[in-house]
Amino acid sequence: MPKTVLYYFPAKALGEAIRLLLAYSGQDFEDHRIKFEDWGSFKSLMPFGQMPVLEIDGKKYAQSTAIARYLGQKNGLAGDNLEESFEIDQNVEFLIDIRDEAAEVHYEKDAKLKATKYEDNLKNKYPAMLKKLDEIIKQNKGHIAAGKLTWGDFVFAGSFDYMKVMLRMPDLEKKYPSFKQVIDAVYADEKVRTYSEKCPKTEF
Amino acid sequence: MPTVKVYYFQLKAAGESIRLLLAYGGQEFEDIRVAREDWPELKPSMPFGQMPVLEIDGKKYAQSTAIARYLGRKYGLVGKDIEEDFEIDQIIEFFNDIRIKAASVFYETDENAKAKKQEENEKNHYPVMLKKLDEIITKNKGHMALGKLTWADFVFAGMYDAFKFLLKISDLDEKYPSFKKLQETVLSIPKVKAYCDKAPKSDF
Repeated sequence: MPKTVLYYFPAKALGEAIRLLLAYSGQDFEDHRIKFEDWGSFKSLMPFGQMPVLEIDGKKYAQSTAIARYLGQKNGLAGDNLEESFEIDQNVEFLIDIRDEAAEVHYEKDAKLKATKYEDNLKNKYPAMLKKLDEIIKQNKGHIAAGKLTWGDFVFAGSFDYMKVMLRMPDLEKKYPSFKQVIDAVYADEKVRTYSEKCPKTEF
Repeated sequence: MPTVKVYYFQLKAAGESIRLLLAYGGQEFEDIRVAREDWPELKPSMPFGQMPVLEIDGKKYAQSTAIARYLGRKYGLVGKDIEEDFEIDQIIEFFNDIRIKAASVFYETDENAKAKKQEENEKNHYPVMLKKLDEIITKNKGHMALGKLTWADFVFAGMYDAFKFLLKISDLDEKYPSFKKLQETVLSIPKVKAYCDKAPKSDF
């Protein structure tokens, strides 16, 4: 069994999709959660000075979406052909677009600008993007792509609470029940459920 | 022979890698460059209301990186296994991170915030990130990954002029000669050069 370590903050955010994929794969892993105040001493050890980083037998893998795709490919969650693999890539790229829009607001340090940006996004960007995402999931029978469970579902489920915080929409899954379908599809797996029952709980 | 069309603005930016890849693959395509004033009418017919979009025999493919990866796979510009493909995905994601930081300045409408962001990027982000990118390209013998030509090189080459523009580092070519050299490596491939010689010109 390869020695597998996942380095990330004590958060779900961009790391959880990887933890969920590792759980799904049945791979034991060390869930190494690095507190923000300790991060400084680890930073230079990481390929891009960032986390999450997946380490398998000493080899480091960085960049959260690339890691999720890699684990997806390893575990039969990356589509059966080039077209399906593309569809997952496409829809995840769109999902990340939404995340990036929300993050642009969330990480704005100037309070006035932050408020203006949020109002602008809420009025002009989020409704169309979330509606589109909802349509995609419905077209894909409760999944992100290819009408079935793929690594895209794991990216969605893992970052969902983070998205809700950044979007400031605590009842997002009530507004779009299809979103809950994707999350349920991921947690339907017994190994994923076992991991999530035992893991440290964080708000996002 | 499939009927292939590329829909994008009159720019290189995020659409050019697709054009360059199709040229490399010897695939004839209709290079549809949409003027800004014509875009609103076309927008609803695009899968995500955005461009670039690749259309093959009527089927639309959206999201620039997903499309580039798809064409990369079609034309053998990939690794030999999942491990190698991961490396391509990893560097692309990192390159995109830098681009997003720069784009965030570009899209900032508040003049004070814009100046502040640029200053912060120049002080805290660009030096480290660009140095890292330069190291990776140098380590990979003038390529983005795997020490050889992959679809990642096409993404870089296509985006490079927009990238420079967004960074607002006028001497980028001099500071990091590996960047321009990589772009030239792609653009000097005979089929790619033939396309570029005939294509409409745009600054970025």
